[in-house]
Amino acid sequence: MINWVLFKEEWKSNYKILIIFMLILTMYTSIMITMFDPLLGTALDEFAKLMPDIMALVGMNGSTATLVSFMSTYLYGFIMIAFPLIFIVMLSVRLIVSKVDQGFMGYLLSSGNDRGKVIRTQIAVLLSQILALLVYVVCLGIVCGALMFPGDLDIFAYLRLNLGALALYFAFAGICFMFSCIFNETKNAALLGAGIPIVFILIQMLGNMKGDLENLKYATMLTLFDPEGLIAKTDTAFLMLGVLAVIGIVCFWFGSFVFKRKDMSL
Amino acid sequence: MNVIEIANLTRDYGDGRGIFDVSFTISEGEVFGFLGPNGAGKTTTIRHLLGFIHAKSGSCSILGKDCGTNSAEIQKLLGYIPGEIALKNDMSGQQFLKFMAEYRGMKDMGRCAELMERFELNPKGKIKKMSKGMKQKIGIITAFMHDPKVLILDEPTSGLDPLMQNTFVKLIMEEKQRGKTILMSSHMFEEVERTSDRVGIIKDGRIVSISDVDTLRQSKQRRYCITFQSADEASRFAKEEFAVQAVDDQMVQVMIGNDIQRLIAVLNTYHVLNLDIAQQSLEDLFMHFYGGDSK
Repeated sequence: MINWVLFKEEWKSNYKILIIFMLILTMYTSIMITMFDPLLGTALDEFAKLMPDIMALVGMNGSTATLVSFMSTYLYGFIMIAFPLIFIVMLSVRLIVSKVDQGFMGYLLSSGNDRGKVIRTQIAVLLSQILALLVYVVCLGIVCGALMFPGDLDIFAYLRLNLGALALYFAFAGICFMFSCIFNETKNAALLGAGIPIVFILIQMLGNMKGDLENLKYATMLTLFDPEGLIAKTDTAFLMLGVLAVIGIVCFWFGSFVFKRKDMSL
Repeated sequence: MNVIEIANLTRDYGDGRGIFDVSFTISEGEVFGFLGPNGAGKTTTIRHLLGFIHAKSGSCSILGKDCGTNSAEIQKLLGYIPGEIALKNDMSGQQFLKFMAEYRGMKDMGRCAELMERFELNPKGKIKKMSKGMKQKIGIITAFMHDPKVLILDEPTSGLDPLMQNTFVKLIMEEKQRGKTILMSSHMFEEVERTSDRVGIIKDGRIVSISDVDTLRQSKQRRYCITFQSADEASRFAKEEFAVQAVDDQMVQVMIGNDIQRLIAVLNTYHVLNLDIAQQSLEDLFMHFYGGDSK
């Protein structure tokens, strides 16, 4: 199915980036959790009252009554979307298109491993690294919650929330991977692979402003990730995760399809 | 048995670039020199053989398998040196060779060690810091270490010093003895002359000739620059029965094939101050094949 030698090598040459993103998210997650105060409301809530528009722009205008809804509002509204996206873009570009651009793909494709096997290996590297990042953050959240506010975190709701994040990352990864496969030049792949999700994020930011712009939520993929619905266990929220998964699968399939057939100047 | 078969392969990139109706075959145990100036289409042809580019029209196959659809199967028995060696910069030479061997599923590293010794390669140290010649050596070892049946070598000696070029020629001769089929591209005749059985010449994307290396050697021409004592003598010499290219004051440039004996005899009757062999281009070497349109 995949080439384990290549899988191991890719992990070895990319784990440093993973660690950097783990550190960034450690900082945000732990600081945010310390700001939760179940009784008095938080300093962040004060911000929300003072500048409702700006806080809404970055998705920080949801309910903050419980620890898990607090985390979903302040972490999964923007931080846990934007940083993993940057990680996914960097990784997808490094795994495929930059190897074509730089020429090393020539060695990978002239040594008895067919293109399908190479591409499946790179998908496995991409997905396993994303999973590692998320699993780490989930454990961190549970540990921080247990240390600072014992008994306050609804762990199952928190896991549902992160299942949603996983589906979203899977769709992001599919998009970035697809462009990394389609193009032979790094800059084009990075432009579209990062650009399209960023446009989605911008549209969502505008859509968060209540009023005329609210309908913009139908124009962004990010609406399919509904933290409040996942915490409340609504059927629609899970159904939308299924749609994200389908987007991811279609993109991965199409990217591989193109990669297996295209011409490369190696 | 034909190991490599290319039939009517065409790839048009527009503006006259690309390859057009390229056909040739290489039989088992043969060394084929693939000769042409830069940009003539050597690498494009080779990319088709490796399966990086799919044939738009025409076909190519190695060991009876189609290069476009069966590249992985073919490559298990194939060694390849890319024209531009792009290794993984964050590895050391040692790590790279080990990675490539394991990636191929190779067990025995004996041949690799032997080649490293032969090319005096010290594989320690990051590839990023290596010279062009060092990288080339790693490329050569990568292509030969799994003892492939077929070798496709795109300008394999570029960046090697003359001593290492000799080592490489010896390696090719040995592999030939062991029955390997080899396609080797170059833009210098001297490079393929010593090893090849046959030579195919490509120009502007078209094969202009395929012939025995012995035949080529005979039709090979050299450009001689002769300086005479006076301009008079020079112009008198220009009237002799030679392919005179240019007359400039006391100096005459003349193309000579295998009638060097006659040139020496004629020159005996002149006062020659200097006799030089000019830096040669492929066009000079193969005037015969390139014909009039090379001017």
